[in-house]
Amino acid sequence: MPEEPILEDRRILDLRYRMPILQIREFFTGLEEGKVRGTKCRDCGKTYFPPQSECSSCMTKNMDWIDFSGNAVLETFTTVEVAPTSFAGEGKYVVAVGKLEEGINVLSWLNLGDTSDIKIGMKLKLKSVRKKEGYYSYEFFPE
Amino acid sequence: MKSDDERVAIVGVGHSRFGKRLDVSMNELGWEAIRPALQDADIVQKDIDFYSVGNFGYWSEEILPAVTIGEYAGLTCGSLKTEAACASGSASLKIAMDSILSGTARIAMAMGIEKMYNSPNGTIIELIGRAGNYFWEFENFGMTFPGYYALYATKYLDAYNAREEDLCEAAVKAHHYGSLNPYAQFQKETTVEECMKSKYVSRPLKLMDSSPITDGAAAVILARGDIAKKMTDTPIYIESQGTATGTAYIGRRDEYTGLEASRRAADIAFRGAGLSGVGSNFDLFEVHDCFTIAEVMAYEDLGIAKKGEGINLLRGKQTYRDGKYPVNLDGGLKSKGHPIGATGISQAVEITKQLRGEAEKGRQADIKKGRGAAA
Repeated sequence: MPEEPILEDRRILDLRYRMPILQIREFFTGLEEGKVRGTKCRDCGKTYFPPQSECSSCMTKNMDWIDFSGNAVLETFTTVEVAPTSFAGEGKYVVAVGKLEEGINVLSWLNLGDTSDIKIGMKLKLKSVRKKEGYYSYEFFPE
Repeated sequence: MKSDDERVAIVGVGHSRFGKRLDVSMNELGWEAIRPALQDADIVQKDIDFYSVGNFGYWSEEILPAVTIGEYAGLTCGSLKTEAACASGSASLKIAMDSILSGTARIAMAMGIEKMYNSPNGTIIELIGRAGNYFWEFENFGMTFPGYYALYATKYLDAYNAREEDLCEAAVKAHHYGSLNPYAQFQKETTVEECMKSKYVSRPLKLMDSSPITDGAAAVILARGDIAKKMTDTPIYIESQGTATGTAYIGRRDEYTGLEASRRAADIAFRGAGLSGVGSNFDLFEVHDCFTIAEVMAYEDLGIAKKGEGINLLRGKQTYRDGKYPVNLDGGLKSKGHPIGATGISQAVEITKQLRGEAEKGRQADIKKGRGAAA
């Protein structure tokens, strides 16, 4: 079948998002100090991850930052083999959901060399990591 | 019992051919669905009081499809675009239906469209991967849409001792009915072996577990019940629609073997129709099988299978046309294609065709109850 005639329209957009983090700055300073944190409402006790500066149940800002122990078990995982364009340089990567002992589920990369012995229920540790580009993130590691 | 003027019926349907549609522009593709819908309802543009256009967008150049398609189609009444992720089409149906129920429209059109092939594949994967929680899932971890469903598939297979081959059975069924649907993107059969040999996209999901990138459009004309009765002998009443929203951040969900929001929406829809559940009230179902695992979970979330037993329905061919619960006799998202904003409307078109007895040979369900359900 012949190719349909197409008018090619090419525009280069450099997407740069400025994402405000003022209200949750302690999360990022926590990563620099080696801690992964969430927020907890002083009134109702609900823990938030991703952290929120305000409790949507109580409608108050009576929130404390809590440092997670990092102890977790693997809930589920996948190896992303077809990555988005902006992750094309990463190779295959394992994304996992781990349940922290604080009862919170966190999604992050699972950092391990050999992917063949990953098992749901295995013990994990959630840790702050410094990426080679210099910024901080967090990843699970096998315990 | 609601009176006729408190009900809404589908009185016309239109569906474009789904697939890689680089032969038409977005507006032309929209018209390909609108024209037959108008003709089917035997009305003209000025009869429509309101229309909505389900569209996710981003990958196609037109960002105001309700306006540009309306202009092409000669529609001048009020309109808007709806976005509700993969339910953008169903959202379009809801808004158009609500416009009638609120008394502001007598006749409305709900359409949906997606033009995905206008962008390169990599761009599409990138953009759809953001359809979760961008800040906490995409930015650092490069989640993809197959990735989200793969998290469910991993957990499901582990929890219920199912195999990847079982999921492939959903693809085999989808392609069987797609092969009988002239509007489908893939009109050819497949096998479990072929599915198993396909490349991993996000383990354990493979290319053949995944719905494709699709261009397509679909439209339905809705009318208030009393008007619908005068327009056609076969009005298809929308008895009820339920909506629910799950969390974006996947960690805020507490299970990975089903979709809690689907169950809530189904419950609202059943109750709205005066039903206590799925029972044996339906002749056929349309489910959102963007991935094979999504079809299996939909069986369970709708209540046609118990938790963990969705796979057994597939194994026993119970969701084929001649089974107990016919599902996706049009090929589903997997084989018919998944033009995101059009998908929900395409489901409504399919159920209408089925209930009218107008489905193509080999895929027409036996209509006894006169009722279908879409999720």
